Amino acid sequence: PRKLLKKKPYKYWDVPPPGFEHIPPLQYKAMQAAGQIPATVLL
Amino acid sequence: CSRLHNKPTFSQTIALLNLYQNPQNCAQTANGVCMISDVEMQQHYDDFFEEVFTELEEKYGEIEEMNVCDNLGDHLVGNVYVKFRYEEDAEKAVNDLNNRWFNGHPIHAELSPVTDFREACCR
Repeated sequence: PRKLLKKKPYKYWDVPPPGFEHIPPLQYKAMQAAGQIPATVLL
Repeated sequence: CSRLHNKPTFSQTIALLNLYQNPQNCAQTANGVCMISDVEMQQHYDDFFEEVFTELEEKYGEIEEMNVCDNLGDHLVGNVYVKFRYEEDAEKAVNDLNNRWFNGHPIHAELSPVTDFREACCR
């Protein structure tokens, strides 16, 4: 029987910045635009 | 170029701003020696490309072409341009991707006027 190709798990998709898991990306960007969080967070 | 581009309201192509982070651009020692080999960089890029392409095609629709910018200008570095077969898929992708995370960052997606990548230079 042919084996189904196992899908590789994603490394990048839907990985939030640490500590911001609870807010949606749209809100995060609005907070960046308002200067409430830095525009680039170093990981 | 003034960089004041007209953003289309309908397009097959989307731009994902600063999505790809080339490890060679940040992993340098104090004296500027790069700590990532070309082979590792290529592997990293291949993984990135495959992951982005697979998810976008699976979730939003057939892709005709996908390009990643290697330019170092702030407005271009790591930009990913994806040309979908159908404009409706591109629109759906922009709307959804703007509310998704990628590698610890929010995605900035917009429609792009580029249709022919070999002519995608503005002066």
